[in-house]
Amino acid sequence: MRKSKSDRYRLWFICIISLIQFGCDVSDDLKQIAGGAAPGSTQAQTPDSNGGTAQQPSLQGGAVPPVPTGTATPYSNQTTAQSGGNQQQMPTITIASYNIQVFGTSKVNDRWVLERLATVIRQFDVIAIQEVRAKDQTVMDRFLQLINSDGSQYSYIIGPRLGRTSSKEQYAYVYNTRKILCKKETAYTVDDPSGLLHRSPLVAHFQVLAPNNLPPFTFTLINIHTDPDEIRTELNVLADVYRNVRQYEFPEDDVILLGDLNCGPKDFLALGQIPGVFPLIQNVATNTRQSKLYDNIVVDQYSSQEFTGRSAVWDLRQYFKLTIDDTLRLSDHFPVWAEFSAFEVNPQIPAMATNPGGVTNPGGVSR
Amino acid sequence: MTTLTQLTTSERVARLQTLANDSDTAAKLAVELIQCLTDSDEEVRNWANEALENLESPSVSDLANIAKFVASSDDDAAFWALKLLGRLGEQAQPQEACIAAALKQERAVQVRQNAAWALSKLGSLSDESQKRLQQAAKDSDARLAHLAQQALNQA
Repeated sequence: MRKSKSDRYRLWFICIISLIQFGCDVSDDLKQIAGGAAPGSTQAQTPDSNGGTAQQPSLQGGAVPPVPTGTATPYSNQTTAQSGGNQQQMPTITIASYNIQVFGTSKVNDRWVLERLATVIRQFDVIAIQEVRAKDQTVMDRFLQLINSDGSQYSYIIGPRLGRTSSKEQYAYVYNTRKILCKKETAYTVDDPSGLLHRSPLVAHFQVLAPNNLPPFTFTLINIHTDPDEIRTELNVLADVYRNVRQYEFPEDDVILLGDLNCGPKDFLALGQIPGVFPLIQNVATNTRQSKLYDNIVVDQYSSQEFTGRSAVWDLRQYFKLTIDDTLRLSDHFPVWAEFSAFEVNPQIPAMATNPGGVTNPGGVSR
Repeated sequence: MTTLTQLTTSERVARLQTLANDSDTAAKLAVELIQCLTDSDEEVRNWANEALENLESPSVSDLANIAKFVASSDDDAAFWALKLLGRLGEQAQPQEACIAAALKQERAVQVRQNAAWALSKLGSLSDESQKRLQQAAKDSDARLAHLAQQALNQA
């Protein structure tokens, strides 16, 4: 849930400004939820569950997450809801993070690589991407074209080019417009006037396009790629970022920090000491060589009750049946993902918008 | 062994991509990787950056050759030379004067920042280096001032 626009401007230790370059056409931002296999399905190895034409909202509307490897121990499990004495599957969404190592012209021009990366993206409803690296700002457009070439309807937001050398990086969010609404103009890069972070996080707010009657799950994502040479400083600053974004986004209670943290939860320092902060990926490697835990999805376990208990690293080598060298052509990281209810759990304040009956209405969303 | 500069651009990108995922080999080729930062092709530069980011510490035997890039007019080359020297920690002590010289105001701020950061990794510092750091600690760039103060605290 989210506060009104008039409440939005405050000053903090780290203040925040809008710095977003907008991505592609958003006219399809409001779409109906497409049907898909139920969460927990044993058919989870089927790659694409989001393609095809939009259908009437359905309680079966969950994307099929990829094969979990090394699922973290969750703090709750709410994948089901009681209805008239019968347990019924709730619709869910999947949120992922993927560092696509130097995602630039070489990868976009390599059809073999790009097709597999598109397959990865289509598995999720929202994907936070790190390491878009190209002066050519058509890279994401070309990627999106391939992602949507099977009838999928994804869109993206991309942040500014960041970094201390001429080899700059951009964060991006790619999301399934059939299931997710993102008001692109509300996305922003955390302002860091003291330069404490090498690449300031990209923050964006999302809402599930859920069927009527129940308030849809809304959430704010903080996309981060830390600098391994300054990990201690950055993790302590990220604790401030997390607290400040949570305060700024109030009354949105679901603030999720995700990305390439370059360390595991044991080394989270101040970030790990925030009461309730819970890393969903634990005790499992997230890099392609399967030696380090770098990537994570960090939630507040008290407020993000929408987490269903399913989260994992997706072993792309196993999924695509590749050699280690070919897997490294995709990235030196695997995606990490988590599943959430499509509806708010214990909502206290109405959501910023609803999509009764799955009506398409892009009002208020600008390019 | 063929050096990176002898390869065609596409071969160079492919080789750098491999090195970016093989930090042990990349560590031995740190000097060549820095040279690639001045390549005319953006993908070469990007993958060289990635390989430099991923290698942990270069060979100590390359210390002097890496230090030569600190004075480079290419800011990225100077930036990465200082970063690698800092990663060597106290082993980079013989290059202290060279690192401290990069604090001078004519250099790009990100180069100065990395010089301050690298000095913070060396351990004890000469009076001359400390004098330069004291100046840098008063700089209007908050990050440079912070890193310089940090280096002084650790000297």
